[in-house]
Amino acid sequence: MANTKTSTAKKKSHFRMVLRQLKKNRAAMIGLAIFLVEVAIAVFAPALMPYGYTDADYTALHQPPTARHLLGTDDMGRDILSRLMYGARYSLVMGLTSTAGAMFLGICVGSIAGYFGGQVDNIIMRILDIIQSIPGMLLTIALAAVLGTGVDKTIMALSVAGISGYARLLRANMLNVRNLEYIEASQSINCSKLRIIVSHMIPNSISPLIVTATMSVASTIVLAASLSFIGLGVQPPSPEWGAMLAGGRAWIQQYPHIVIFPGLAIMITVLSLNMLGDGLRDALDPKLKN
Amino acid sequence: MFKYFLKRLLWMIPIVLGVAIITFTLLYFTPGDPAYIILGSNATEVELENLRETLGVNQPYLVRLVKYLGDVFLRFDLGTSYSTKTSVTGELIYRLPNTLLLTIASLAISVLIGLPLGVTAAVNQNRLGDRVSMLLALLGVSMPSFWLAMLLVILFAVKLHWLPAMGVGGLKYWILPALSGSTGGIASIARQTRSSMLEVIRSDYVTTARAKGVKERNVIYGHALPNALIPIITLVGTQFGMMLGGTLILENIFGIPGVGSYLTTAVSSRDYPVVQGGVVFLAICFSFCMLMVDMIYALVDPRIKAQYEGKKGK
Repeated sequence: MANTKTSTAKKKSHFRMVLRQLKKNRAAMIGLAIFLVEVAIAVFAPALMPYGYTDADYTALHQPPTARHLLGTDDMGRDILSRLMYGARYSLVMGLTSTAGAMFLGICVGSIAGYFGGQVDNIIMRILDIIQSIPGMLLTIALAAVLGTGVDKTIMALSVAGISGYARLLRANMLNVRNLEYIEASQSINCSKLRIIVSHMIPNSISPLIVTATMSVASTIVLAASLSFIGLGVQPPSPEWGAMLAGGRAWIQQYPHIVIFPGLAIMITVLSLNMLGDGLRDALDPKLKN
Repeated sequence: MFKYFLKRLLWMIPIVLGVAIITFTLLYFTPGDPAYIILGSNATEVELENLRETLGVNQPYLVRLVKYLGDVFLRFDLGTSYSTKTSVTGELIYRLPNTLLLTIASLAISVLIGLPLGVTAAVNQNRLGDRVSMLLALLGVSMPSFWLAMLLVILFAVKLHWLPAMGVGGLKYWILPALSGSTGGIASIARQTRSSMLEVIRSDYVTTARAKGVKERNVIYGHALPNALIPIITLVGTQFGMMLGGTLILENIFGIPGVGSYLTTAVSSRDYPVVQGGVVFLAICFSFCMLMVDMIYALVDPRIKAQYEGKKGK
């Protein structure tokens, strides 16, 4: 009992230290604030949207920003602001779940390689070498070709494509942890392999993955939008930001506002996550901070 | 040194084989009957069956895999397109120069701008120059290249009429695509350069160089930068892969007949031999570039060179 108490106390203090560091970082806090506002917009989109995201107003096609339509309307007279607000759901859900999926699968693969070592490790690492020799975007396109289009399929494609980075990182950290005394201790009191991996090794080697994950939510959102943009992700009538950009391409000459705002939405999201990620990295690993 | 290169070159064989096997296996499980895709809904069952026989798609997985690998590596034949009935290899080789040109141009711009930007930031740490260049880098990392491409088209092609919006031709056709492809790279390279420069800039040998009275310019570019290069080269290598991916999308925007536009059209028309061939082909190109990066490593860093030469001596 006393043992668990001290360990949680220690964990908490480390967590608090990281949090304190993070709070001092103004850029990271701004990033976090923007991101939280965006999450709130996505959650409460139906209540906040001035118009429905499919409501077409044929008397107001291609309108530049006006008081009635703050960000203008698209080629079917749909309100761009409303579509962007609802579209935040797609980008955030795809970014967060694909990253979580990739991280989970990566942890499974990486911990097997890291714990067992030897031949198992060798085989897994060689397979990862092969997968990593396919550029990420290309791998995602190939997976999207196999799985098909739609939100769920895109999430699957993005998760699978992201496995190798996490697996590699976790394995490298686990190899460092593997020979430490407390692992030997838990082996000597006959802990099961699963327990050693899940409750001793993973918690002690996961922190670099958290930073990578924050950053890769950002890059996954861009990747998801790119897929939709070339017609492989979420399909056009849905107000996904990449699909909106693709839809606006035809009007780029006459009505550039149709492509400017969705891209701006992607950029603000990605920027906020990158600012948060930079701060988190500095807080978790002060060595990297110069 | 030679031994290192040879070892690295031999390691390419299983990688390339593995890529072909993985891609084949992935697309093997794709739903959809190739005969149906080619002939359409008007075909009779007999016609479909005959075509399946000719294509060999009703054979078991292993037989098809071995045949595919044989075709690819012994006859350099990546298959025949379902829709155009032309050789995928021929089409890819015809299109590759455009894709490579765009990727390499983007990479060159990234290095040429990103490296000095990072050095400037490191030298002026926490001063205005640093803040401005890092803010620019953060914006650059966060901007999706395909959106930037559209913004550049709006500004330079639609409003100012300085540059063509799309197509291929002389140098001016490549400016906008290469510029939009390079921002992400500029930003990442600048960030990496800054942090690895900061690591070396306080080392004793840099102080020594300064104490000897070496000019500041020489200290930075002659003593500090070469020692900070290794992580930057790694990044440039990975950036190459990223840009190759980005190029696939930019080709669609700028109407460049490259591997990317071929591949994306093929995906939407379910032309699987093209998808399969394209992925294998680009992955092989990418592996060769990574091989080159590794070799540059060894050339730049005498420590790696010494390690291998030391081993040889033992």
